[in-house]
Amino acid sequence: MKRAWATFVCGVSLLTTFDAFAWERVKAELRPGVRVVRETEETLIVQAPEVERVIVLSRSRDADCDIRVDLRWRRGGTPYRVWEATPTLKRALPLPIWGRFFSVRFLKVLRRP
Amino acid sequence: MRLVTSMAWASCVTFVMSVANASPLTDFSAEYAFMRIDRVRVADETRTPKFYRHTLTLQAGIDGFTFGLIGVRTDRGAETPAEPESGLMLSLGYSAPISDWLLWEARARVPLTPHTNERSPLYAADADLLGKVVAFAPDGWGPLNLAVSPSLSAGAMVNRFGRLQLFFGAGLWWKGLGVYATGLTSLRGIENPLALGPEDVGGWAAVENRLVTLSVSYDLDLGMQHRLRFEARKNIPLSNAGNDTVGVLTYRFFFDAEIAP
Repeated sequence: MKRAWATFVCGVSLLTTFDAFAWERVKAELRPGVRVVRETEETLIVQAPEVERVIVLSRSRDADCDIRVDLRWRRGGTPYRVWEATPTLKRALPLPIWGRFFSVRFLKVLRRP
Repeated sequence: MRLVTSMAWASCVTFVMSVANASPLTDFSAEYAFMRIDRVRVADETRTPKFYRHTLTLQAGIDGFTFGLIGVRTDRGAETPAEPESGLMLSLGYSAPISDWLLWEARARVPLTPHTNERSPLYAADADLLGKVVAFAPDGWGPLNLAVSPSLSAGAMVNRFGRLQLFFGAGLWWKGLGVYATGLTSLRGIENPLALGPEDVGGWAAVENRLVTLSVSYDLDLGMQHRLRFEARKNIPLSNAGNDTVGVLTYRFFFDAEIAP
């Protein structure tokens, strides 16, 4: 029984180790030249060359931001992370400009408003 | 049993209050499962009985709560004619994420029409109370659009005869395809089922057992609101258990496409 518990504890530790913080996942999908202006636990602000407006990503549900990072769940499965573009971003920047910030792969998983 | 009854009543009250407050249903599911056993490992002996079980579960969900009705029918096949046994149970449960990487789940089952012989090896009420914790990685492993989602689970279940079982599981999920392995062991129970006496309350439902379950599932999303799940499970008996082969088909309708915890 001790061995089973030890396996479980080790497994959970492994999961948390591999469960990279959300910003690391986004930062890996930034286009070359895109600069991280500000990074906190709740917010990430990125700026692309020759684009005046920055894009604000937030994990807080109350924040006014361009891309919201949230957790979603459907019964019968495990929760998963979603990346949602807000109407603010849609109004502020046309879709082709988003591609100057993020990779095609990120734009594919980014939910549109 | 008193604890199970209290939990059942508490969940009933919550359910009724939710409906009374016009809280919308979040989902509804219908599940059919067929189980076949043709080899049983008992007290270091292997026996070859024939058991079949059909289970139909209807379940409604309100946020984290579920309220279900389970119908079970078992028989021993044409080779060993015996009276089929059936039962109807009420199931109540709650599950919800409690952090960015932990989900917990609790479930209770209460027999409504316990027509099943409790000394039968296939006695239906074998998990009257279950609690489990699942650790998951919300971003998965690998590239964002191709990520594999790993999970680990641990939990305990106790039945009305006091048999306590612990289980540990691990799983991988990728684009609808899930592969899972779970080990189960009982902490206490009747050690030798071949020597069951009239004083052994619970019969086979109280037998101490150990087994490993392997399962494969596939989730087919038909739009955002409909989901079909196909699942196949196989037990590897280690002690006092059967080689259950189970096929499950689940249809789930989501009134709310997703729940934001």
